[in-house]
Amino acid sequence: MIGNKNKFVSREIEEDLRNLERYIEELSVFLPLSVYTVNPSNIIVDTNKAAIDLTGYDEDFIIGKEIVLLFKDKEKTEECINQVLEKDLIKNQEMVLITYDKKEIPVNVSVSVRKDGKNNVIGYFWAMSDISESKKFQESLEKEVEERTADLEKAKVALINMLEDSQESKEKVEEEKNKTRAALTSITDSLIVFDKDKRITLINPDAEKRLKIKEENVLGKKIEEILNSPNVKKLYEALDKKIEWTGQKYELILEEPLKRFFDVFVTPISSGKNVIGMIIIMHDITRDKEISRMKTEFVSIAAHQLRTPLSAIKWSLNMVLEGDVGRISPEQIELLRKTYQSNERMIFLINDLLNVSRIEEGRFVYSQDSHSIEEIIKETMEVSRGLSNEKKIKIIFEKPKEELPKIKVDKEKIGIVVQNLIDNGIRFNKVGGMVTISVKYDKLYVYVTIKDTGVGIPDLEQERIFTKFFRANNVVKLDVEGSGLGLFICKNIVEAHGGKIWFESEKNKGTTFTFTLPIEK
Amino acid sequence: MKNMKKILIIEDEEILLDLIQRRLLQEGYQVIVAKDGEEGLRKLKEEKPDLILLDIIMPKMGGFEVMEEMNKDKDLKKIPIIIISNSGQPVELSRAKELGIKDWLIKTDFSPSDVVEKVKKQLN
Repeated sequence: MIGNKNKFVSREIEEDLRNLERYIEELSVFLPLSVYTVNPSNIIVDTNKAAIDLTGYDEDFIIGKEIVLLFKDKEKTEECINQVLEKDLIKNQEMVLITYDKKEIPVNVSVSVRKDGKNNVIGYFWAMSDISESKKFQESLEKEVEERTADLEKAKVALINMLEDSQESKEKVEEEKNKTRAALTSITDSLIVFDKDKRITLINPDAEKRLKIKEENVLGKKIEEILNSPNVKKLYEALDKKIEWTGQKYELILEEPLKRFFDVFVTPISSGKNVIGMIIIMHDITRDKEISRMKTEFVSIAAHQLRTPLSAIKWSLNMVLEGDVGRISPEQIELLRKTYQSNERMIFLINDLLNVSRIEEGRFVYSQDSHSIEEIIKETMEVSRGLSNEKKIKIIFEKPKEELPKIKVDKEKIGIVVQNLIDNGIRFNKVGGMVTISVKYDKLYVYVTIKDTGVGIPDLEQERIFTKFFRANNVVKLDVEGSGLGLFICKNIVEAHGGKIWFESEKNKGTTFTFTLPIEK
Repeated sequence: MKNMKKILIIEDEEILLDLIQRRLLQEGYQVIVAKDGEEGLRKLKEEKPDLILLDIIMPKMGGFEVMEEMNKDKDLKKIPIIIISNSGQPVELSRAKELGIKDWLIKTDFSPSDVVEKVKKQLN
């Protein structure tokens, strides 16, 4: 009975067991985890649906194959096999699965030991889950992190660069500042630099010396606050008590210990369109003045000294020529006449030089009286007659029909102007040419026009013809003797009378000079 | 002689002095010369000339000082003066006019004959 009973029981258990197995099997179909069951020799004995779906190896193919076959890294597989023997369970080993289609899929592998009731190892479960998605996610995450890191790295580098740049530009600014300061302090002009609020930011050593102030005592102050220093006060007064850019040149005289003359300029410091400060520049012109004075004085003295021997020559020749000291041959007369003319020319040049030095000394004083311009022109024409005959140039005076108003002039000086213009007209004319003088007037001025048919003034040189010692190129070739002072003197004389002088010229056609003189009121 | 008028030339430049002297002698004038202002002043006091030709810039005593001295004496003041000078600046001219000169000649602008002419004009 018992045997039967046992038989019965075992059959029942067998039945239960089978049911359980089927249950597990059926359950395992729904299990999302891919599982391979292997025997102790690592031969696959079972698989499930998830595993077939994942790997593509069907049951018929895979059962009986070694588990190693599934994985790319054989060594790692062996390692897992060895480890699981010791630990019973290894979890989440990242491995690469090779599918039936030879695709490689990253998987997470866990291995656990199968034991029977007597704790004997009867095999292993290999469970795998596809981590390609999460791997991708992770990779993208990693990539993103990497990218972010790279960005950050870049940003960091950029930041460092920026810091370095700003350090560099700071150094540059510092360097520029030092350079500027060095330049400003070593400059021989006196400089005072103000910020936009007109507070002093720099005074160079020359200014310290001239103004008798110390930079450290005045920095940050306005000029109005330091007027107790006498020289600063003088400067302030010279600038009409303001520090403004007017484009004007101011004059300053300081008297300690010797009299010194300065040209003073006020210049804005701009940054873009903004004025960020002002500079007062004091340029010492004492030496220039002295040199100029000495030069003028030298010319004056030299010219004066030259006049005495020139007079002696003139007088001697004159007496010899007039037969005062006995008869001379026609040949001798001819030679002496030429000598006399050369001497006259020399006297003329010396007179020019003297006139210029007087103009520059401000001593070209005029004794102005009422005169008729017509008379002055007629008298001057007489003086120029010799030259015009010699050069075969006709001088024509187109006399005005009506009577001209009187003008208040220095007769001798206006005579110089007319003579210079007529002589130029003759000298730089062509053979058979003409010099025409005409006069007209309006309410304010008398206009004297002297027109020639000569070589004209080259375009490029027209600007300079009233400058001292200037002689146009074409003129130098025609006449080597001119002083280049005539027109300079003319301009000064005319302007000193309150008139103007100008010209129109066409090359090889001729030049027309016109000057005006105010009508006596 | 038709013309025995006495002329004093005060001029430091010897050659100019010589030339004018010759020219005036030719014209029949009696000529006295002085080479500086001091000598000139002394001689004009002694000789009482009819006319003086006077230079301005001279050693010891210049032309202006000579004129100033002459102006202090009512007789000497009357003697006509013609200036013969190197320059002819307005300031100098006006000062000379105040001191009563008759004429002013700039040496480089005139010849001895012009001087003679001016002298004749003054003395006639």
